[in-house]
Amino acid sequence: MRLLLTIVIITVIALIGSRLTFLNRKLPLGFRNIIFTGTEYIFMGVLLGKMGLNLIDPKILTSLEPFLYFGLSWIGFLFGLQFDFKSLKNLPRFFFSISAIQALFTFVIVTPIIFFSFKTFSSLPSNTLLIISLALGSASACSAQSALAIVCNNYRFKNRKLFSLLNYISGIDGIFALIFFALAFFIFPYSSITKFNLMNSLEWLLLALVIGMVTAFIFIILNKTKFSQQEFVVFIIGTVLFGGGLAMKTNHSPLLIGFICGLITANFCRHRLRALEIMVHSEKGIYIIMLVIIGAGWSLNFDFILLITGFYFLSRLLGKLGGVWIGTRSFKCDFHVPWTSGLGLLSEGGFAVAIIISFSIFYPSLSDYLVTVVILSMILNELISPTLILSHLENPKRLDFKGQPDITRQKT
Amino acid sequence: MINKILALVLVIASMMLLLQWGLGEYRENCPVLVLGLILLAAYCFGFLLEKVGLPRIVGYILAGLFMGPFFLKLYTFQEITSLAFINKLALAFIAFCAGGELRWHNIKKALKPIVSYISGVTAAVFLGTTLIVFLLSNAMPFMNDFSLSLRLAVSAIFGTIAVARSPSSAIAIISETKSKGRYTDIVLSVSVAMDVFIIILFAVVISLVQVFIKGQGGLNFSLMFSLLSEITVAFVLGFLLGKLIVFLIEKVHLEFPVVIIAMGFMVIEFSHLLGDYLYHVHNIRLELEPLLICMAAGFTVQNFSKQGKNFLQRMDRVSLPIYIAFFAMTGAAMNLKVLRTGWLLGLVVFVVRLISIYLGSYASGRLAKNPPKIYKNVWLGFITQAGVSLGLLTEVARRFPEIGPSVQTILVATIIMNQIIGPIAFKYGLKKVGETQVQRSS
Repeated sequence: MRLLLTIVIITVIALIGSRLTFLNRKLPLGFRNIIFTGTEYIFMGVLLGKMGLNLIDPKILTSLEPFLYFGLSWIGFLFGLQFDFKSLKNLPRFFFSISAIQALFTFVIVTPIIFFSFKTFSSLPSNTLLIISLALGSASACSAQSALAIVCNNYRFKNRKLFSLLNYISGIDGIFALIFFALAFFIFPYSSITKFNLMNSLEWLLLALVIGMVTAFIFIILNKTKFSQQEFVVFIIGTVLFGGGLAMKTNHSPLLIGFICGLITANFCRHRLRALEIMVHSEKGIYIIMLVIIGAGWSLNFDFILLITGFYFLSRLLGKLGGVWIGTRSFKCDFHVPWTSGLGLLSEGGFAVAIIISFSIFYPSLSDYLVTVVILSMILNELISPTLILSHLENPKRLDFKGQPDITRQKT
Repeated sequence: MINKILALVLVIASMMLLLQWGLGEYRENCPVLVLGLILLAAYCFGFLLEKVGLPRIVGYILAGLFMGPFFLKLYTFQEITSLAFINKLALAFIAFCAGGELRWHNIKKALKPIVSYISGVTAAVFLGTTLIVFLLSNAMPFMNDFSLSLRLAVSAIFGTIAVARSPSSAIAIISETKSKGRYTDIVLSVSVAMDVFIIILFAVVISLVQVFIKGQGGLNFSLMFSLLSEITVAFVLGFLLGKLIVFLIEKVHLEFPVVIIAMGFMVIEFSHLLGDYLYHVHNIRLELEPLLICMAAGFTVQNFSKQGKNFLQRMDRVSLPIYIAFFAMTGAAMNLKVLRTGWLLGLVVFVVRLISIYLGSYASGRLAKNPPKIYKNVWLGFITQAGVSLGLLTEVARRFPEIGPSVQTILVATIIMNQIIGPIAFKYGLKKVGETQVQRSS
């Protein structure tokens, strides 16, 4: 009965939510950004979960695990589909290098800070600390376009090139986050927390690549002959399920397998855009369900974790600011890039959540730490990032933002 | 075609290698993988069979069977059981579509032949099967000690289950061939109406059999009354659900295939829960038939709103993965051990059923003054059996453990044959009367 009720509630939330999430509202920019990224569904999950009504208890969460594999595989595949190298080449090459530098710098800053913070406040063994710090380090490298989009929707942006750069970075840095994520799994493959074993790690990597390539190859050859829209839906759902299922069976990350599959598909399949269109259409619903599940499984302990969240938030802020600064100074940009430009990348978005869910599946005992840090910092970031972008970048001398009346208000 | 073969080989080979090399030992039960495997492999297999003129759903069923525990062993019965909720969703979806396909103005035109076919085919199949099982009862060891009247009663169970049809298969074939026309309407209407009728017939036969086997009761009129109330309540609820769907389509503009699938799931679960609750708490027996509710809802959308066409079109967009999963899992759940032991008697029942369907529909069609093209071919659409028949068999086994397993052995063999031959015959029938989309457009 409880499972039924849970499914009904989650379905209703996802269906209604997927329609409401991306609507413009007359709210302060920070709150609008929260709604824009769907963060409020975490609270809905909290309400239904063990911290709230306990409608979604741990037993139900376990029975919903296959959905997480499916959802992560879907998100990974969709993310990989966006990396069509031909289209990426259209933008200046140094954009890519700047993105890589800022992601790496953030990772390099956040990972040790988290490691030593946990070491100071907890008695967890070193290997466990390393996994936690690698997980949070890779999640910190991601940034989302939501805050930039919210600001740009409401204010005129004169420095178009800087906007393109920030938009590009926040669109692409997930790939570096995924590399760091893969690195964590490479060091500790098959959800082990034991000593590093190169052969095990290589086997894990090889298998992940083979599974990703095989599923992509299946999808591509299915698309070779003429097919209907209904058949295409079968190819997509079948490939995502098969890839996610193989990951589940072999103890691999569905997010990574999905990404490898999507990346190959993006570059070798003629129907990339058609697939993207269908997948984006359903992404919101899947993402919302995942947020509800993560909220339901979250248990917040008010001990040292709040302090660590603070360290995470600050180190990430430092990483983003420093990363963009170093990146843009290393390459000759033909436009002005103020040192505060990294503030445009604070929004964390869904991909960080997907990374944390992936870690939580494989290391359930660490789930509470990871989820708490990422959720709290995500809420904070989504809330303040539009205001920070506006207050620090508005000055036309430093960054040519010019406050304009709210477009949505004009329309209404 | 080569691409599909290659994809099929790749999917199955990667799965086999995974199991061979022991790479999948981390998880025993992996429903996500089984579902993905079923979708991709069954799709390819269905596509290939279509190229040789067979219906795709036969391909889905066979793919599910070949990959299952009796041949390739790519998944276990346990894994298929863990995906039972997909079957529920699919059945609810198919029931909505079945109801939606019933257009009252078309039924009204063919009401006389529909009633005629229902009564004629039911009578012929029931009598024919009952008679042959009764005559062969000496060859069935479990009936050796039974009296003549008891043998007749048990034979009547065979006769009743033989009457059941499979609207889901009919819908899938119609959807695959995009058929339209009088023949299609008659087959679909009769199949759907039989789903209601068979429940009543089953209740009557069961209450009679109980007299002979257990020596209890008689023709139980209170049972009949409760059945009629269940059916009435189901129709009323279905009507209300249909109106709710119309409201959602017109006012809320939700992604309604997903809403409808979720609704179907809720209807199924709540019907069972309500039944359990009323029985255990208030000692009232009210077992609502959820599929009837979904069919009535689909019928309401089609006939009591302007959204019928829109409803079917949008349902059709997501129908393929649902059909593939449903029929492949039907194949995967087939118990071939039973076929091994009961195939001979099953074959006899199968042949007699075919002959009875042919004679019953031929006579009914002539009486209803149908064109020869229809009454000579309509029997081809009445062969398929699936979920309802298996459900009734389970009920027989539950109520009469003395005879249940033996009856199941024989009838499951018959149902497996009907499941595979039925769709082939129906597609052939549609082509013969020229109602498939390809024929209409040429």
